[in-house]
Amino acid sequence: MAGQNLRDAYGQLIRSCIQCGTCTAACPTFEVTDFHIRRMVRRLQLGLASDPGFLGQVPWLCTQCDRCEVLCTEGLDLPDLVLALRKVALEEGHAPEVVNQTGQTILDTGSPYQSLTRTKASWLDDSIRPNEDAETLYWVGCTPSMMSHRLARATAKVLQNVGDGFRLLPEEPCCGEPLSVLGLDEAAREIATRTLDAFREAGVKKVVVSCAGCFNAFTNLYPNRMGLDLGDIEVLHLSQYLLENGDAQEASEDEPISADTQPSPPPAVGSVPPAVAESSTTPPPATKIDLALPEPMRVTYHDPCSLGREAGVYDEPREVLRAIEGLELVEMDPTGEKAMCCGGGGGMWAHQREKAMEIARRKLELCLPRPITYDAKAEDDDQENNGPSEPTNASPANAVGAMDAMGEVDAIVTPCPMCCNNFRYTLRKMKSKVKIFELAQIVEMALPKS
Amino acid sequence: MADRAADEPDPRVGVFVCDCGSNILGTVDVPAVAEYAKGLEGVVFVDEGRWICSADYLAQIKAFINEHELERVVVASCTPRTHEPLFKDAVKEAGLNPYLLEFVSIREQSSWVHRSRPGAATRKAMDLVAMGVAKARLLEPAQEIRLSVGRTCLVLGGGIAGMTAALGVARQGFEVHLVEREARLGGLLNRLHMLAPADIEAHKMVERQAAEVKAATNITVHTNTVTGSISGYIGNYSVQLKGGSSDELEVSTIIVATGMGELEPQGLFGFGSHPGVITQMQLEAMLADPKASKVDGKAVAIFNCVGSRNAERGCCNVGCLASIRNAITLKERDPAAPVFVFYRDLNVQGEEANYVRQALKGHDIRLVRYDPDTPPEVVMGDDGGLMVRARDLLLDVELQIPVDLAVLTTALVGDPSVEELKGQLKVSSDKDGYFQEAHIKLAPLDFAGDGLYVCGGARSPKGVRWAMEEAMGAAMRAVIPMRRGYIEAPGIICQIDHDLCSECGLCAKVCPYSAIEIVDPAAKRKVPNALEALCKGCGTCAAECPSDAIQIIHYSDRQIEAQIVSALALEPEQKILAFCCHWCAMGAVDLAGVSRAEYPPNARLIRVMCSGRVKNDWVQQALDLGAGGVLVAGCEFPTCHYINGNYKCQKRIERLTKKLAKKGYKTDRIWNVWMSAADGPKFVATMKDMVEKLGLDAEAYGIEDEDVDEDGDEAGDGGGG
Repeated sequence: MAGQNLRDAYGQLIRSCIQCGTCTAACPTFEVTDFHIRRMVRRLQLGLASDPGFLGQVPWLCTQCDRCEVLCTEGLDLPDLVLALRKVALEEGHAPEVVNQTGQTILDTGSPYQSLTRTKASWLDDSIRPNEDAETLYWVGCTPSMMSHRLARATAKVLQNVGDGFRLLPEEPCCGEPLSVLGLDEAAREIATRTLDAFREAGVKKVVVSCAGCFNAFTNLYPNRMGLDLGDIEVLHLSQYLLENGDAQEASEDEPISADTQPSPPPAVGSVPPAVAESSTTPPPATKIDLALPEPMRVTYHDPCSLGREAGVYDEPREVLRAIEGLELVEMDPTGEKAMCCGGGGGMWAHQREKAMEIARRKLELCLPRPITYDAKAEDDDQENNGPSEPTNASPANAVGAMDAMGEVDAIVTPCPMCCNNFRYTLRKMKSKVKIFELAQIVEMALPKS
Repeated sequence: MADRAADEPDPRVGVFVCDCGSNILGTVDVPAVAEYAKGLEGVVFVDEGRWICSADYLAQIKAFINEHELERVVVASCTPRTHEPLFKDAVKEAGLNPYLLEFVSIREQSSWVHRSRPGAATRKAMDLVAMGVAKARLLEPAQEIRLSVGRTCLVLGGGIAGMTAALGVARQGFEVHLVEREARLGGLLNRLHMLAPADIEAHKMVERQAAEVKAATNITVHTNTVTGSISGYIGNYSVQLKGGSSDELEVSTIIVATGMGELEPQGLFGFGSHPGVITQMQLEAMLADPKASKVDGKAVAIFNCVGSRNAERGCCNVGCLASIRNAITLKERDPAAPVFVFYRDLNVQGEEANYVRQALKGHDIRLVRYDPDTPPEVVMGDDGGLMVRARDLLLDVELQIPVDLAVLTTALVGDPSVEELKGQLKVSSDKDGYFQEAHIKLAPLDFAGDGLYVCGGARSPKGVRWAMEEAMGAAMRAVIPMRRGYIEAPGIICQIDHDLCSECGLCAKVCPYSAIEIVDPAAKRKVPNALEALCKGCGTCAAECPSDAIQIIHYSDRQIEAQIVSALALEPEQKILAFCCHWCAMGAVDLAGVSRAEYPPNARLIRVMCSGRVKNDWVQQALDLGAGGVLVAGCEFPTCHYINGNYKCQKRIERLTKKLAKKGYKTDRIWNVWMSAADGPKFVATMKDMVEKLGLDAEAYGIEDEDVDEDGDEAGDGGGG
């Protein structure tokens, strides 16, 4: 009868759907799986969603990226509906086994990673010097502390350069975000409570987070989904913390960057790219440390779904990047509020890795600023032959295209360990020269050499 | 006002030729045309003016008329379709009967369209003026005709439209007789439950309007009553009632509001084979009955567009909203019982659309769109219940839904009473059995006959609001002649010469306005009587009359024949004599002119009000006079301004062509072309075709024409006065 409860609780939402299909068009998973979110809603409209085969599969293919919600013409929170279906599937025992296993692992071990060799302290080495008396606590997160040590170390080294440095929790539980996106509400709340207790026990007032997922958990999921009050504990994203006066800034949810930093109409060949033009007219934002890259670099910024659409942080990471001397920031298209997901969210990286990587590949192919290799002559030939059109690698002299002036980027920067991992594996598979950096990594590269 | 010397045999004709700046003067040698006009028989005065439609010149025309004692006036300028009223007034103010004016178009018909052939354009202008003078000499004065109209209106049908129309007329101070065939007022609404989007109970609507009708002292309600017979015309209808009332009424106007009916959906969606399959109207009745609990707790599937939107008929206009409204009622009575609505499109707009959207957000009504090529099926289940088999287009899956009730939103059709009533009223109906209005846009609430109006479901299927709006509109239409107290018809009307009449009755039969009545229909001799006030002057009767006993004022046989003779006086073998109807063919001619389209100058145009006026004799006369071609051009089917004059014309031309072919005429010279007023290019193409196919010489009148590029790239002169 969980289905009936769902119809009661979400009836208004389900009935408000006009079946236009914008959600499906916006969905990263649709292109690579059977996940068809419009049809999912349609099934609910007709009362056809209680089928175990459906419940065991369809709701688990969503990356919870929220892009459909942003683009929905009726403003419907479809990701929440997916989450509700996950809960129905869990209640009725139709959820994939791996979901329950993950939940149990996190509850038991404090992380989703079952590792016999790694602990949450295994990232620490001699170069990391926490300060037990520091005001600021660095929340590392499961992935950096256990799986991606370079990210954790980069963040720590950056933090060592600010004020009196940072301290660490003796033992980090999980933030609870991976449980929450799987619909395991009770477990999420339990582990979140443990984390809050740990903060309180340590007398923490200021927490700095680099992981987009953890940040979303503390600032959004705790108060809005789990009903947990952080009290006087201030949680800052690394980018917010690094900006001068950034401590006072809250995540500015009411000012998404969508309008401002959407790429303006592509400039004519030879003109100044918009991002550069902007940085040349407005003074670069001030950071607490002077940042300069040893070699100039052109980068683009990937908005992690959990930091952007969910937690509402779009501007501060960009401001940090613009503050770095020698770094040129160019935008993807689409970007900001409408940015496409990397494909790893909602448990996809953990449970459907190949699909996640395929979504990432599509994103890179579609959205990355790159010189357009467009050969007018080749296209004419194609039309004449009526044959299949294949991209041609035209010589630079023949290449025409509005985005030419931007050139290819050297690197993608994103403040999410999971996006990082997904892109890293995908770029490697694509044999691309484009590098991927976590935000902290590029900041670390720009630290003053002493 | 004295119609001076109208009866004298040789009237004094004055001709005013316009330069229209350089619009005419730029191509046509206007001084030469004026000089030519001076030599025409009967012409005593000619003047050329730069802009003769200017206030100054109009005053001058009046002075000239008096100074030279002019008895007929010919104006040669732009087009009567825009400027005739100005000159008519001027002539009238000078003391002449306005029907003694003849308008000749030398701008649209010559200077604008033959710019590369100024010599031919001048020659054509001369011919047109000569034709105008020939006709003008024979013009007779005419009067606008008045027919008095009384203050009583009959409203047929006591439904929501009829009651609303009756109140609309009564409240303006006129007497109303309201005739209702059932025992109580209300009509179709008596069988409905709830009205969307206002969410008013239907019976409350009825009670409200009925109470007002009963309270109105100037409305007489005749229930259980129908009409036995109706005769007469506007201002003078006699109506015999039968049934509950057997009064004989004398009324001036009649509003028809007899409503619509529901199609019997026999065989559709299992109707008739299972008691669980009912119509939307039956569901309404079940919902409206407070004692009925028959529908509560039942699984219901509603099917829209049953018998509608197919090759036979269009949208029922109310089914979508009605189905949603009834689905809401079902959900309100039992939220747990499933309700499906199978639809094709939700045809709702504006407030209705908002209403439906809100309803669908608020209630778990399951909408399933279906493809008319593969409609849902209602079949008998194993348990004897009903099973719906349908395909959901949005999921592309088969649905099998057990239901207790299948409700068919069936097509709405004309009421069966239309058949008899249309005979009584001498009006027509459409193929769906609804009454046919005079014109879907220009006269949507009028019948073709004067004093007859139609509104509500009698005209087409519609909801309450639309029906009431029409009823209010029909009431306004009916009041107009009653308030004025008379109707006035223009002087262009038919006149029957009873000495010549063979009393065959054909004229009464062909008149589209019932403006000719047979004095005694039962008698062998069908003596016609023209009801002048009802005549619109189309002339179909005159063209059809086998005894030449009917003339149309201002378009008499003599006048047209004089034009024909004049037009073909010179080089007839190179000329096309073109009869063009005022509304469409002349519209196309004028449009070709305004567009400065260049075409061969061979045609000489004769204006008739309707192609229905063109007599076969005239066509034959033109051929006998050696015309290179004859064109009869009228409105495109089915849009005749006189309902069906073009159809009549076409049939006559076909008959004539056969007859003349037998006699050895070259009938390929007879062209019959239909065009709309927007078909300027079609007229141009017709001219070019005729010249080419009939082997006419487009240069025949090109006296000393210089060769000018056909494309005519010289600068245009802009619009004329």
